[in-house]
Amino acid sequence: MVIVLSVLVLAVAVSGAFYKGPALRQKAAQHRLAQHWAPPYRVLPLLGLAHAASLADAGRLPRADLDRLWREMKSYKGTYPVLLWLELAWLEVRAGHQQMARQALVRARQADAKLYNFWLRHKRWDPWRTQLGLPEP
Amino acid sequence: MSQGDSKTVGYWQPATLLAGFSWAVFAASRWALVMTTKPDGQVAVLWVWPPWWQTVAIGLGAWLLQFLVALWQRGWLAQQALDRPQAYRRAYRAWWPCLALLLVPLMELCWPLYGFSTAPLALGREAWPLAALAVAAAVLLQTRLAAPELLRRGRSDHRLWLAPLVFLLALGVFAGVGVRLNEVSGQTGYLMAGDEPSYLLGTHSLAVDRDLDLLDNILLRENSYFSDPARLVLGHGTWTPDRSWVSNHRPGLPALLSPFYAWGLYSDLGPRKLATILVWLLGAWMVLEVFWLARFYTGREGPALLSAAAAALALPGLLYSNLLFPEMAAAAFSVAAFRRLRMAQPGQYGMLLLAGVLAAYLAWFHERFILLSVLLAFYALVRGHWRSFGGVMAFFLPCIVSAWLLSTYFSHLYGTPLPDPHIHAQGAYLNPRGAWEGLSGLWVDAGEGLLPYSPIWMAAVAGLIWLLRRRPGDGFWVLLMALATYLTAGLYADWFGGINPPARYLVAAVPFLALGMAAGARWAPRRFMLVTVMLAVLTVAAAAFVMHYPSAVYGHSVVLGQGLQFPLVENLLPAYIFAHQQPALNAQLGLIWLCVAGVVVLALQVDGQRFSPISALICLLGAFLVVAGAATAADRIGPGLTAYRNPAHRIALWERARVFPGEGPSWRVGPAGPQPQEALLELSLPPARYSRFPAKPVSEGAEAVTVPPLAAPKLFLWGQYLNLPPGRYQVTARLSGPYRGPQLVAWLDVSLDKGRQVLTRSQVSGQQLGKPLVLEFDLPRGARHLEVRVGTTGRDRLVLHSLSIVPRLKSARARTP
Repeated sequence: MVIVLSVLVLAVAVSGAFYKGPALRQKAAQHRLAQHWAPPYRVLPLLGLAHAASLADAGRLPRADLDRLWREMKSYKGTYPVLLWLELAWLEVRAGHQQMARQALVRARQADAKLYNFWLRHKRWDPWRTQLGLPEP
Repeated sequence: MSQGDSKTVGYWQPATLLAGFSWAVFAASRWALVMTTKPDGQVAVLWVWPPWWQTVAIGLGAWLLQFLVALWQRGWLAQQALDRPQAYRRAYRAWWPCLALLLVPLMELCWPLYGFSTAPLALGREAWPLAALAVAAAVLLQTRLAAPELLRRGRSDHRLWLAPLVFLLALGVFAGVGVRLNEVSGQTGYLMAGDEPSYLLGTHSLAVDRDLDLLDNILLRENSYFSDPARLVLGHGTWTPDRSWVSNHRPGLPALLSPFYAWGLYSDLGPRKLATILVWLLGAWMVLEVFWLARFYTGREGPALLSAAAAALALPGLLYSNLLFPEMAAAAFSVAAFRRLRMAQPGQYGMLLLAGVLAAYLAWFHERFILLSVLLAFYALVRGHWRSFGGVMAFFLPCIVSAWLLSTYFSHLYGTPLPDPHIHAQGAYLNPRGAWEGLSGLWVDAGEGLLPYSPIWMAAVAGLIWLLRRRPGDGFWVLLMALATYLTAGLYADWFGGINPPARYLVAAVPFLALGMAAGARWAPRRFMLVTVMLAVLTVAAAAFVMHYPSAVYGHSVVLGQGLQFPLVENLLPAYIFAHQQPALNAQLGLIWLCVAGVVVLALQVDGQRFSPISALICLLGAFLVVAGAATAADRIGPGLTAYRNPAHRIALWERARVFPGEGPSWRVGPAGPQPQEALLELSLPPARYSRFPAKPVSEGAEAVTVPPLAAPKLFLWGQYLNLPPGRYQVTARLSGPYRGPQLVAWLDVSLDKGRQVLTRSQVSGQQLGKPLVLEFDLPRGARHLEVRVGTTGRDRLVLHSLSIVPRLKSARARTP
């Protein structure tokens, strides 16, 4: 009985953070920002925060936040920029900025056409395939 | 004769005198430096001795020690319930096993002398502490057997506090390993490899997004929370029919890890660190279950503690307690379910329900654990839990529901209701290279096998047979559970488990194997503990080595031979995955060592043991000869001990030569050949092995490389990464080329820190080509990752014939005989 109770208490205790779910992304990104990550990977927590905010508010994001992401991405010198451009394109199109989303997609394709085509197969892009002129998978 | 006389005069008995002499010869002969070479295909051995007075002093010191121990032993036996003359007689006779020690120097000298093999020599040089330990343990055992009334079995009382203590100690050990791994790798270090990052990405997805689709996590590069941000982790994924990207791994482990991982994200303490705590808890739980089950089977706490210690301290459990693979969880779940099925009485539905849930969950870790679930279901039937409707429902309902859910999961994600080999098994479950590879490799492969890292499991197998003999019902099922894990893993195409520390797929068998330790300690003859102590020493030494250098166990490398002068592990054992040997050769080497393991297991099955020092001596001699014979056979079949492919072996010799007291006599055994001083200490750095484009071998299989004329200077050889002891060294290169003018054609340097620190450098003109180019340098504090680099100016074609490095010993210790 003692063992069962201990396990139950432990389970309840550890599930506290798990309960927060998507808010964890925001929390984790804030920890990163507090650590003042230097370039090139400073953009990662910013994208994480923007992703969380986009999900929380039906895609709406302040233009200033998106512009900062653009600035960070234009100076990004790290690995696999294609993935980050795709994420930015997704944030832009959810925010209703299709022209900017197209620009981000162009940047993504320029960075790595193979990975660009690969990840565009995902169902995430289905609502905007026609608008953005994306190929059918 | 008075008592006082017998105390002093009594030592001068043949057994004790010869024992002292054996220890003296054995100890004195350990300090010689031995070098081998193979001129004209015939092995030559050079023995270099320390000054004679040192040799004699060491021998006399060992003899004196034996004399003192013999006096103490005689006195101790006289105090036991034996009459004094009988006690003294038995005390002297107990020393007979020491004569086996004479066999070691005898084999070291005679075997190569008659051209047999250097294998016994290598064993004698490297493994002599084990021989000494075996002989000392045999004397101790015979001394104990001399007073039979001392051999009382332990009491059967059960102390309540012992189980929590076992759990806490295991938790402490696993946490200690975690601290060490974190120390060497950091939160995001190079230690993580293989499937671990993929499991963590899946965990992240579950914790943050509450789904299995990894796209968000990949695009946001969220593997940066547990690994290098520059790295891309795709989660070993695949497209589902609805075009989601999900991991090929089952979600069982990520689901367990995610609450702990979530705390790591939330608190910024590091999600991997926090997730590891769960694996510590699972590991400690597994050890506790082993302790409980072993105590139940044997009725004793001592053997149960031995089982728990083996489960906790021996590899692979020790290392997998800190790796985020499903292995430890499967081990804990399977043994916990097994124990509950064994202990449950009619009407204990809660216990059966828990067993059912645990058995059902196993399949969610990986489909190879489905066999364990099926066996547990059969065990539930055999234990009679089918007799009540409640019992059947309690155990089987979770299993049926889980099977249905798993089938739905597979259908939804992969379009097939059953696990498909293409999902995550390289297209086939059964090994296309043959069953023997995995079945033997899992035990004795030099890099991936269980026994080279943890030979104690050999004793555990012998113990399991004792469990089968004394408690056939329980023994059968425990053996079946261990065997099911072994066969599933051994027949699997990926039997080595991918890029991860060795014997990964046997972790789930660890709790069941560990039960054999308790059974052996409880029912096997006393020699079981003798063998266990020896194997435990080896096991702890291997575990300590792995803890010292944990990252080395990744990447299919053979690491345990690194500190040895002779390449025992690399050249005598099969190495299926680190593919430098022919598959057929590996199979034969595997057979040889499995036969030796079989002999050990059989020897521990012979029942009963009484005071008989001569029998002990014969057994020891037999054991030494079996091991030496097996090593000789492996030496003959395989590449041979004189094949030095790994620079670490030559450097181990340099280290010994550096600290060697020196200036004694030297012997040469075998044919005349190269002068020993340089020839036997020289480390060849074959250009073909370390060269890079545009250099290429002059012909197939050749060591020399050629570099064409180039438009710009280019480095074409580097990357030896030698770890050298302090001393002075000489590098010699032989370059040639058509151009013989005064202009520079090449350069040669010695560097550290990936070329950032150059120790010495030499420019090579065309006039110097064809002559040996020599560079000398000092390393006052030794060096790590030293490279000898060669570059071309591009002036003309170059051929690099050879490259070598040799230590310049202060005194000519390895003197020419």
